[in-house]
Amino acid sequence: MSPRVGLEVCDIRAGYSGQRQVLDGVSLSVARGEVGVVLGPSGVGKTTLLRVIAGLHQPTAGTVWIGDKVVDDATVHVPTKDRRVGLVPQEAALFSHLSVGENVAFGISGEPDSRARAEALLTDVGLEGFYDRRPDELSGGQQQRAAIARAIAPNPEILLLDEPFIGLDPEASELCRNVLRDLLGKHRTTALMVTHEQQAALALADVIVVLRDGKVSGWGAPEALYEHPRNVGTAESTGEAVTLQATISGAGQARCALGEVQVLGQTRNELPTGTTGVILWRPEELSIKKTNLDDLSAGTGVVKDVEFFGHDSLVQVAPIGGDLPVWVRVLGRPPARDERVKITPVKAGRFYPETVRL
Amino acid sequence: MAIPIGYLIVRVIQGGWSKIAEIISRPRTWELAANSLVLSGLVGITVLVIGVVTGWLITRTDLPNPRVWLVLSTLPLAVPSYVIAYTWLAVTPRFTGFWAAWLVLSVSTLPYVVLASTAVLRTLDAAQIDVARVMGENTWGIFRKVEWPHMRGAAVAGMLLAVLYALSDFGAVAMLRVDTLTRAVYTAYRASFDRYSAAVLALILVAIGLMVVALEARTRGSVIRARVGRGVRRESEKIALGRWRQPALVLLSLPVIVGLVVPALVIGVRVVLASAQGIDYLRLLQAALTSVGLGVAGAILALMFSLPVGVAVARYRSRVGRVGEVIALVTQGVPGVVVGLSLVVVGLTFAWPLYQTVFMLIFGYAIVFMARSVGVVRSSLERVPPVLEDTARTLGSGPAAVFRRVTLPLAGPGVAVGFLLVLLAIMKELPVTLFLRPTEMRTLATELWTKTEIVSYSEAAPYALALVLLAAVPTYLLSRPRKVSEPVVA
Repeated sequence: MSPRVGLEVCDIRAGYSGQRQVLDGVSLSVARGEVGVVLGPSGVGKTTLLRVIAGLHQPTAGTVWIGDKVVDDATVHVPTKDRRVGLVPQEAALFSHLSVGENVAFGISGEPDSRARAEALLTDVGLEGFYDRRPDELSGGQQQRAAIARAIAPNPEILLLDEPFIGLDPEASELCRNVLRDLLGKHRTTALMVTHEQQAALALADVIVVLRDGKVSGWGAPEALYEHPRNVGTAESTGEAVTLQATISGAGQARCALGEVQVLGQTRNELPTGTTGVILWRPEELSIKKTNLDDLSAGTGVVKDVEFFGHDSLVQVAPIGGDLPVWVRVLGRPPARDERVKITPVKAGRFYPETVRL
Repeated sequence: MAIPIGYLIVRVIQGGWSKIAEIISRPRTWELAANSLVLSGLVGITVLVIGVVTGWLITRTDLPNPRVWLVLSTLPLAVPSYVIAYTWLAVTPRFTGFWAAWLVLSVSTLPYVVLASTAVLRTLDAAQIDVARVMGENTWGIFRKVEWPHMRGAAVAGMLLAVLYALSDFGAVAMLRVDTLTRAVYTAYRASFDRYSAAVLALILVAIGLMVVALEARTRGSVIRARVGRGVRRESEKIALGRWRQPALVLLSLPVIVGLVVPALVIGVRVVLASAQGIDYLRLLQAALTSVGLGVAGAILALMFSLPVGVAVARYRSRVGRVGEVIALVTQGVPGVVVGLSLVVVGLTFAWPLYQTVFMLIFGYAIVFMARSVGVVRSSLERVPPVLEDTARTLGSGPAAVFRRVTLPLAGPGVAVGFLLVLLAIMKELPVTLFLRPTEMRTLATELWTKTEIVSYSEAAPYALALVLLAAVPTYLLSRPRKVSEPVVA
């Protein structure tokens, strides 16, 4: 095991008695001091993965390393208390019979300076002077920050976060993210967060793992994953994606509702003409401009909907001649509803043959 | 529990099927079973209707002093049904028979449904009522389509508890001279020492009790969460009663008068009369101390029995948990009079040195009240989300430390309240005490029973007063707003 690895999970399988396999051969690795984010919709096994790493659920197969120590394999199962993991559960789960400060000091209670350290951590998470408050006096965001401080207090080898920003308003969520980023940087703690929120994942992650149906469907640095998703599922998990049915029409070329378009990457020269599949762009990789009503060329369509965000807009266009509506991100003033527009790719699209649709 | 009841079954079977058939086919047996069933069924229907209406009036309308009414409506819990029966007998010795028992048992068990109904209605989100109102529903429509579906599970469960209580009750029906199965079991054993007939009747009673328990278990699964979602819960607006206020107050007052005011007045007057004649305070104090001592010992043993079962039910959704659940349910369906009889039979056959000792009596209490104790342990543990224990484990605590630092502080107050509940129940208990107590042992309940039997109503009054006062302490503690910390989630 490389000394640079903070967490490694290898071919983990896990389930619950009488149910199907929840994790079906999951592998991932997070470098020491980095933040890994497991991204995926509800029910794909994200929380189970965290519970396996924390030692709260025993896998049926596979290996888990925390730092350079094997904590789970066929012969070893290190108890949770000896794993040096910190856990920030969904919805904070502060101990209601203890004060906020006592919650933070829970894992270091035997140590002489526990109160001072808890107070310092509370200051770090923006809760200075909250030591003696009751948990139910705190807002949701404050409770979540207290839970982060509690988890980091014993200096864990790895911090596990289970949907830590779920249910928080955008402001509280952003504050929590900033606090978490600062705290992880300060303590140089390796972290693994599971979430279904793309924004939180892209903002915090050094590495993202996309989980679908108990399997890893994509992984990599956020930018790389966003730019070059391995499949449509990964693309949709890491941001908005425009997908159209397409057929390879020549070297680096495909035909779709937008006409003849360029195809990106390794597929451009390898796929035989006539291969069918899906072509994918990010919304900002398409441009639209107004056109005449009599323009019936490929890529023309009618604006059906506009979502205005201030700095940009998402415009939904129904292409003439069928196919599904296309969302295009437009900077500046968006076109009006029912206007005739023409969509033009500003970058080559990514082509996925039907066999890699996951 | 399994050993005495199992032995009772074996003894009955050993007697031969023809003898069993002969007892079962007696018209008297059918009459007793019908009396028990009709009485408990009528009590159930009565408390369901009045209890739901009372709960609704207290929580959803502009009734004056709703908290006072809630306390008054639940206070009869502190008064044993046989004490209410005794006080009405002291008013008029003609207060006997089926309808007298129906009234007394209905008033005694009404709090089960009132408490269940108010608990649900208090947590029902006003937004759901608002939505129904916006959709054009009137008060009746809101009750029928929103409130009742939420209350139904809890209210029916409360009703079935009342049915079980009425079915198991011995003291009140015996004092009011209603021939039910419980009274027949006791008299068959005491009056004629006919243990065989008593055992057959006891087993019929157990079979009916278990049917009620099975029904209760089924309704428990249908309890609907009163609230879904994370927003702030609002109190719903109160409904103006207008011209219905007076009838509502009359309806709420009647059970209070029957179960609280009349008993209090009668006990007060009779205590004054008894003082004039001279009260044996030493005997009263001894009986009170014995009642408390037995209550504490029985509650401790019941808790010891129920802890592993409660933990299995609350924490293990496996075969262990299901076995625990079945044990708890079965004990709930076995009336005290049956436990008493079966322990007498076992004691006389196998454990003669233990027969009529304090140990056997405490053991009997623990068995009878184990179900209640399991329920308390279970609900207290279920209030501690497993995620809190998981979090403590990740913070370096082992299983023992997690229990000490997290589970116990959060579940402990609930278990303590449950302990008090069992203590209260044991102090009020009559049939097990009558069957198993050492000959010279006197408790408040047995003294009251003995003196009522010989129509010494004034002599019985100080014991009734002491019993009510002692039982009122745990009831007061139970009715206080819970200070137990709710688990905090963001």
